[in-house]
Amino acid sequence: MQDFTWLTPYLLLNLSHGLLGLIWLGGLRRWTGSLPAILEASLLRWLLALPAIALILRSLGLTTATPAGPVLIRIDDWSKIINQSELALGALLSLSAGAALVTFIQEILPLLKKMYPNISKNRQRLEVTQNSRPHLALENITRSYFKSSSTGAITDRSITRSWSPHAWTWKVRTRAPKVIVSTDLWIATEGLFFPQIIISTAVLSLLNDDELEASIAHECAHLAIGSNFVLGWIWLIRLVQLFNPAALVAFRELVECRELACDSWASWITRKPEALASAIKKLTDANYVTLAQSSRDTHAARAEIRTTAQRIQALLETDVTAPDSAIFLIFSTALLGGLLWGIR
Amino acid sequence: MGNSLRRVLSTLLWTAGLVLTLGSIDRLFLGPIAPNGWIRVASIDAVPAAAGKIKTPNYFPATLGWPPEKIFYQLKPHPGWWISAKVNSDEPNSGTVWIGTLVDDSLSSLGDSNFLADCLSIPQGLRCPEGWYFLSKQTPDNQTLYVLTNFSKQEGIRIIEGL
Repeated sequence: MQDFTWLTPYLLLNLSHGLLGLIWLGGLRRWTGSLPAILEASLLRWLLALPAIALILRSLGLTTATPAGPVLIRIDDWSKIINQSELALGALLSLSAGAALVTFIQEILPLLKKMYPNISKNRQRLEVTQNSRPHLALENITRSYFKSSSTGAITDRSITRSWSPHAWTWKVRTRAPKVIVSTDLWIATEGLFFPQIIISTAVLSLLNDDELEASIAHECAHLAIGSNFVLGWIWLIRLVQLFNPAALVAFRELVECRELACDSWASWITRKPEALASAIKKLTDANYVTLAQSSRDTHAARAEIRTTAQRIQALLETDVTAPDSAIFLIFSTALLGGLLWGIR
Repeated sequence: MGNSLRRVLSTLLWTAGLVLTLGSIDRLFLGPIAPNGWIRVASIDAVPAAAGKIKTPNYFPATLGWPPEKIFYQLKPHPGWWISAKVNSDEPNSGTVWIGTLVDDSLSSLGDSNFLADCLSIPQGLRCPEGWYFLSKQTPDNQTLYVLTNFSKQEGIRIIEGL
């Protein structure tokens, strides 16, 4: 029988990091009150990245066998205990294999279907058309953003650096929204290195001007916080931890949190959270009707409705505030890093 | 400001609580953390079992005392021990016997007994002064024992065969 005992320290290290990170973040939410979505999304990103970095360093032999400094959890010693028990080793390997399977079915397969038309039967050839509404909406958003910046609403330098007028112009303004002819409800940012906002004609006919502006502001927030390029890196980090169920949970939470963070940005820029909430509801209701009629993916549609309800609640019940300070993010990330460093 | 301070304090307290809990669980099940490197102790009883069992040799030159004068053990990075006994004399080259189980890079941190590291000189090979003999044997329980002595080679062989 194959000897898998050499895997134990790596699996255990990554699992411990992921679990501890989630527990820590859960406690943070509980004891500090609700965290701003933008802050939480950043913390979740580090929560995913730090264990992956630790795993890579260990795999390359760059962490010493006898670590210097205080150690919270001695992974090598715990690994020896697990390896001595067939039951414990079997449980760890099964958990890891299960996590990888769930990741493949739930996340990788749908992504492949979306990226490769031969796999997906629903891909249509897209025709681009002209429509002035998205461009007018973007101009309004840009005016609102610059107004908020100049009134000193953003004081944190790390935020002004990524949202500076120059950055805004490069990241957002130069990427004029593209309108495609389609009966599918489609509004998203597409493209890896030069992302662009894509809107379908079905969306244009569904949403009024305020709702359209709020929706485009949401997509602008995606562009400004790093969009698909950053998401690509997050995916790579995720793949390094394919066998970690904690990374699976963290990734899902991150994806949802990014949406909430972009909602938060959009509300702050447009000062119209009700418009965005209304747009989200309209799009989700229309999507559900379509999917229910086609009797496909109704579970996914119901899950989306639950997420949508969360987003709408956050928009309507949370005060519109400027983006949070980066100082607490740096402080809490350092604490998280120190905590995870103690497990080795 | 008040909210920010409250958040910082809550975060610190929560993290500290987690650290204490995790550390306690680890120590509870695995015991205290083994120190790194070589440690000198005063008696053979102070050497933990994890470092290996120190056997009293069946043969030891009469001029040497027992228990040994110097006793070292290491648990991490690799477990092992070394003991040393010397003829009671002011002569720096008086008869000395070293007995041990571990020959690797970690010997360089053996503290005041760098003679061992210089002589065994990993990875360059043996660099002991003339008149010193280095012997080894495999015990029935698969442990490798080493003897380094400046007694005669025959004495060295008698010592190692008595272990």
